[in-house]
Amino acid sequence: MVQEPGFDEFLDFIAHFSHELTSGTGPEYALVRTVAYFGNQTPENIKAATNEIVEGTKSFENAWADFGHKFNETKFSRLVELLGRFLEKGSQVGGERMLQVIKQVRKNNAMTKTRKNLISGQRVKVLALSLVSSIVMGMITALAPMLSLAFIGGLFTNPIHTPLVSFPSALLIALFLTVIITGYRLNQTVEGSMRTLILLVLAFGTTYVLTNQLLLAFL
Amino acid sequence: MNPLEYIPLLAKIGKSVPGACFVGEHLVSNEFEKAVDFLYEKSVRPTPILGGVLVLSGLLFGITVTVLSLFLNFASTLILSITITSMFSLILINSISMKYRQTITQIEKHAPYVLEELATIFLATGSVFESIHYVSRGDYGQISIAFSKMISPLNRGVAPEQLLMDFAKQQPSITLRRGLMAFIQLVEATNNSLDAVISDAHENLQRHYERLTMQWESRMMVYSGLLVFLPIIILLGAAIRGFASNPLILLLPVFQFGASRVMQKILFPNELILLGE
Repeated sequence: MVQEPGFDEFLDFIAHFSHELTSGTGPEYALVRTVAYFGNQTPENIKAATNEIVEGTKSFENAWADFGHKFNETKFSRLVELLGRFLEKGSQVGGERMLQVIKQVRKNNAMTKTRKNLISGQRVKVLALSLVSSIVMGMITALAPMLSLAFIGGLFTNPIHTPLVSFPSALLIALFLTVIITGYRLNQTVEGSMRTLILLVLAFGTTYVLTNQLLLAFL
Repeated sequence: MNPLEYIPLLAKIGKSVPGACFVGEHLVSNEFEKAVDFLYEKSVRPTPILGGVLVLSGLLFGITVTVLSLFLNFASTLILSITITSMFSLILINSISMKYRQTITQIEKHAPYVLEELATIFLATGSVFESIHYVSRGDYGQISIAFSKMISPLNRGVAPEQLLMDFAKQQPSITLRRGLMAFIQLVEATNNSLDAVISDAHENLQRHYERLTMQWESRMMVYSGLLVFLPIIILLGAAIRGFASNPLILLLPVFQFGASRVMQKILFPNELILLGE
């Protein structure tokens, strides 16, 4: 998954606004001009903010602060806040500085996209690994009583003795929980969807049942 | 409860035990000295801390030898005690340097934006006082706290350039130090190299982030490998010993949960978030 749409457009908007500011106009006029330039492409909350300024219901500082609070993600609100702080003392210098910050933010943006790509590339690997792990766990669960040294020693004296894992055993519960924890942690790291947990649990259960049935058939 | 708070106490112990400081003097590294200088007051010196650590690990060695010799033979006792003692002292000493490095990272995270803000406010208003006051009101962690401490000397009439210079001198982050120096030069109108320094600061941050990104894949490999194979190995061991039907096996998910949390903290330290992430 690449960076969700919106941030690039938002950067364009802020950059245009800063550019308007550098020509020496006041922030109110620059904002109105920028909204007019972007037309329908303007984000909804920016439009609301400009309406409030034009109608005179709010001062620019208050409208701009409210605008910052409207974003859920910090990457938007931090930029708005930074520009607001720059504008408090002087719009022309603030605009010039903001253009420089935006230049760096664009670079940052490219780098975060690289990391996001890397993470999403690992998602398949993680899925495969956790799937294999739950399959192996399921197999070991069914085989566990037969792996013990006591059982292997007993084979020489009493070969018909076949202990199987009964259904609600401590081992089964323990491994079920371990599979869920492993899958959850790995998915959390690669920001994957938690629906794969169902797949892991199914793989674990199926392998356990199949191995158990095979043992019943052969022993 | 932070174990680093007890370091001054350790220094006192080291000072009072004769000979400990003498050995500690030969072990002090440059970075450790800087870390202690930055994190603690002037009275706490690096050499007594190392002496205290030596005394403490000597005590620990004695205790482990006494306790373990009740259960194990001489050779195993010696090996295990040496391992435990050296691990303990290494972790203790390393935690101080680590805290120092974390602080630098925290500062460098904010440095470019603080410098941008200083420059903006200064260029707009022409007042250094206004710039310092403005940064102190911002959300820049330790930098804002340090700047807000400058306000009262400023009101007493100390020159702001002098205060900034003093702050820059005791600054662990080279980026911020250079930036503040360049800012002071800008104020005194001798040289405008601030823009170059700011873009350097940004690039510094980006390089750090890039390094973390490059490390991410190998960290992920280690993490997933350990998470997947540790329970399987433990389970196989338990099954061969015949513990598979024992209710104690329920400790396995608990172990897995704890181990995964610890590994996550060590392998994926969430130390850096770029503006735009």
